[in-house]
Amino acid sequence: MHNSLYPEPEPNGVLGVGILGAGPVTQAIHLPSLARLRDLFEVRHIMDVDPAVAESVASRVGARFSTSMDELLADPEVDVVAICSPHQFHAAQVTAACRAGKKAVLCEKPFAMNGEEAARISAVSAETGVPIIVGAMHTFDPGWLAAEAAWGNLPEQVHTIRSSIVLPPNPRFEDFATEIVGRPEASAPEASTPNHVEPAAAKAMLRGGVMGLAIHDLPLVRRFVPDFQSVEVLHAEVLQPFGYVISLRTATRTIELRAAMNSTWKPEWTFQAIGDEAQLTVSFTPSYVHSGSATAQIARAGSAIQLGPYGHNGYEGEWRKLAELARGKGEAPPARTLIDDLEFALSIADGAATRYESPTHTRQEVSA
Amino acid sequence: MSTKLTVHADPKAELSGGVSAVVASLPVSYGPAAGAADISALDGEAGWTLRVLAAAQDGARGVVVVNPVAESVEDIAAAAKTAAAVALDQRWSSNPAVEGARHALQGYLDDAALLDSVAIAAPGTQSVELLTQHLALIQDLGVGLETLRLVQHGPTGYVAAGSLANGAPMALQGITTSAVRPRCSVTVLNSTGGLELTVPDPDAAWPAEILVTNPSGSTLLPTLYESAHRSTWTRLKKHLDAGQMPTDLARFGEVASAVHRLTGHRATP
Repeated sequence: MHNSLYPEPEPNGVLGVGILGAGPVTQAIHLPSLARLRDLFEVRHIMDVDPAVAESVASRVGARFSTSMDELLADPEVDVVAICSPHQFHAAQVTAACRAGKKAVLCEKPFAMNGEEAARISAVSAETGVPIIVGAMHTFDPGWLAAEAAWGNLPEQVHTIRSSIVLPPNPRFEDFATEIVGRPEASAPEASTPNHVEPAAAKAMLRGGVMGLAIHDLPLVRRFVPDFQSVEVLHAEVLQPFGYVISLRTATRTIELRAAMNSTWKPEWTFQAIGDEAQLTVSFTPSYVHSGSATAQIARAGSAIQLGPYGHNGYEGEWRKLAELARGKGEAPPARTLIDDLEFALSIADGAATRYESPTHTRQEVSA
Repeated sequence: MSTKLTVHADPKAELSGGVSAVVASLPVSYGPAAGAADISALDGEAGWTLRVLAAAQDGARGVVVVNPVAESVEDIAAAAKTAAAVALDQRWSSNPAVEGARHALQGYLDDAALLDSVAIAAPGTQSVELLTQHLALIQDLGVGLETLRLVQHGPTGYVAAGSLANGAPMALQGITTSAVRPRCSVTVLNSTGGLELTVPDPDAAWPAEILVTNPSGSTLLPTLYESAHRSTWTRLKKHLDAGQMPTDLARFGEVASAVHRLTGHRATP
C-alpha cells in the first residue's frame, strides 16, 4: 500500500525514524535492529516522558529528542514512527501518527486495548493511507515465513497446537544487546507461600502473560485455527515466579499455551502445529539479541525438512517490511487480520482470568 | 548359578512385546519352551488379569504382561495374589532409564515450578489406552496422580491437569500423530533449570534421554541402549533368582484407579 498523499522517498534514500517511548524495548530491540539496517533507516527523533532517558537514548544515535508526541510527529525529518510506549497509549499514538501523514507506523503489540479501538485505528489507516504494522515479531521471522511457504496443506489437518516458552529474566538478554538506561525497578515479589498466588494477582498475571507474552505467538496459533472465534478457555493456572498454563479448545482444535520465566540461563521458545500426518515445529531465538532467525522443521512420517536458520530475526524482519510499505511496495497486513489477532488475544486473556475465578478450577481446590 | 527359564508367548504378546527377539537376546536366562513354560507372556488386552490367574494355575513361575489396560483395581489385586511373579512390560515406564530419571528428578521436585508432559502415539490409539501408558510413566517417576483431572479428551488426544506435591502445576497432554515416532516427554522446570526426559517406544533399543539443566550447564545423563521390553525380562529374572515378587501390580493398581477416576472407563474381561 502506498500513501499517495506524500512523495515517494528517493530510491536510495533512507527513511527517518521517530520513536515514541525510549524504554528497554526501544533500547535493546529497536535501536540494535535499526543499527543493522543503516541502508534503510536513520533514527532522527526520540521521544520519552523522561527527558533524561530521551536525551540519553537520542544521543546514542545522533537523534533529536523531546518529551512530546506532538513535537515528534511535527518533525518533518521523521518519515516513519515506531510506537513503543505503554499499552494504554498505543491507540491514540497510532491514530495521531496516521493523521500526521507519516509514511508508515510500527506499533508494539497490542496496538489497541479492545476490538472497537482496533477498528477505529484501522479506519484511520484506511482513510489516511498510512500502513500499520503491529510488532508481532514472530510473524516476520524468516524461519516462520519459510515454513509458511513450505507447509502445504498442514493447516487443514492440524488438530493440536502448542506454544511453549521458557525465558530467563529479560535483563539477561537486554544486557547483551545494549547498555540500558532508565531500566524500571523490578518490583519485589509479594510475600507468598511457594506456588500459592492470591487470586487477584493470579488473574493479573494471566492477563499480563497472555497480552505480554503469549500474544507473540497467538497470531501464529490463529493461522491454524479457522474457527478461532469460538475459542474457549478450559483451564488456566499461573506459575511461580511468572508464567502460565492455559488450555484452550475450539470445535476442531486443541491449543495448549505454556510459559515460564525463571532464573535459568537456557531459553526455549517453541511453536508446534500437529496434524494426523504432519507436524510443524518452529524454534525461535531469544528476543533482544540478534541471534538469527527461527529454525522450522516440517516432519512427516519417516522424513523431515528443516528451514533456516537465516541471518536475521523477526524484529529486523518487521523493520524491513516497514521500509517496503513506506516506499509503497508490498502489502500491509489486512486490517481484519490485525483486529482478529487482537480480539483472539483479548478473548483468551479474559477467558483465562475468568476461568481462574471458578473455584472448581483453582489449584487449591483440586488438591484439597 | 541361575536356572535358564523357558518361555511361552501368546501370539498377541509375541507381536506387541517382541518376545522372541528379547528371549534371543537373553540366551543364558531364557529359552523357548517345548511344552509347559516357566514364564508366560501375555498381551495386556482386556481380560489379562484372568489370564494371569490361569497361567499361574497352569504352573507358570512368572508372567510378563505387555501394555496392560486399566482393568478393575479388584481384578488387578486378585492377580497380584497369585504365586507367580508378574512383571508388566509397559511402553514407556518399563524403559531402563526411568529409574535414573526418578532419582535425578528428586532434586528438582522440591522447588519445581511446572511439570509438563506430552505423550505421542499413532492415530487410532484410544485416548484411555494412551493415558494409561502416560500415567504409568508419571507414577514411576515418583509423581503422585491424586490431583489429576481431565481437562478435555477426544479422538486426537487429551489434556489433564493437576499439581505436584509443592503445589506447582502439572500438565499432561496426549497427542495422536504419525508425523513423528511415538514417545513420551516429561519436562520439570524449577527456579534455575530443570530436567527433560524423553522416552521412545520399545520397538527398538533407541535410548531414552535425560537432560538435566542447572546454573552450571546442561548434562545428558548416560544413555542405556536397552528397550523397555528387554528391561522387563531382565528385571523379572533378577526377581525370580532372588526369590522376590515384583511390585508392578500394586503400582499399576494405582494407575488403573486414576484412569477410572479420570475417564470413567474401566476395561473389563
